Amino acid sequence: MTGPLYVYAILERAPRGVRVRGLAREPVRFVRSGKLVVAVGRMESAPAPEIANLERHDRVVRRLAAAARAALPARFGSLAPDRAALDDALRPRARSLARALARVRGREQMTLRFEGIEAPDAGLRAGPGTRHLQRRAGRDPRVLPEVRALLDGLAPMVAAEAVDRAHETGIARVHHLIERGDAPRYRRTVARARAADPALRVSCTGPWVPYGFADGAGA
Amino acid sequence: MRKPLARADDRDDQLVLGDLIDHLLNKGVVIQGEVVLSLAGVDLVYLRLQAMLSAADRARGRKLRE
Repeated sequence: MTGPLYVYAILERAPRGVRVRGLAREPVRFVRSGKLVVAVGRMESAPAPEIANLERHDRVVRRLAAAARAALPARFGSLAPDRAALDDALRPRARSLARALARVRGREQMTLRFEGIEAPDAGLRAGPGTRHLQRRAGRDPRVLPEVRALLDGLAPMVAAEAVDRAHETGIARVHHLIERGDAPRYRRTVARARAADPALRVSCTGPWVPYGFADGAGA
Repeated sequence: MRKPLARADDRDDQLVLGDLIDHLLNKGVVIQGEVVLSLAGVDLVYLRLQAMLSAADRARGRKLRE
């Protein structure tokens, strides 16, 4: 394939017998880059970041993930000028991507959204520099006992966890990697925790293809 | 707009939309180097989208506190 390539996902192998159309209705092809397989579509320019295009990208990635045991979704708008540029971009990260693929194999992502996570209190003696750094660092929702209790209840289902700390919006997200098929049990656990504790302001979305673990994030 | 594929536990499509934007614009494998440069013009739009997302999150947070 020549020309610009829009990247949808990184896979371990090309899924057999799968025909997928990309978000511009272009055929999705599977090209090898070292030991990795990359699902790409021929596209002259990056698609506009409109909601409809985000949803189309997500649908394509979901079809690819359903056909493969492991898939790392690409960030929206990932356009490589050509095959050589794609290989140059992936070669230095081949090992970490292979590890990430092994981690997400047979798994999917759930996302918890916590509200009202206030900024950390720097303390009376903290200088402006310390306060600035603390604000920038954001607040980890896991310091709150009600959040900790929920996460402890979910722990048996969780293979990996990644956190987006809260900043000025007071909203934090916790992403969990779970076995495919565990989403209904996961949601029931969240619903029970919310019913038991009115102080817990949490919502749950998913399952997602593992966007939050695609670049090796999480532990 | 078609119905989002990921569910929210309270069937709130806006929650799913917010996470969709976060996942697709902030997460996922990043193809760097020349690709980043070639997307420089689009990044500005992403920043505006993110600003809209943050504003929507703030508005929702205020609404819940009322």
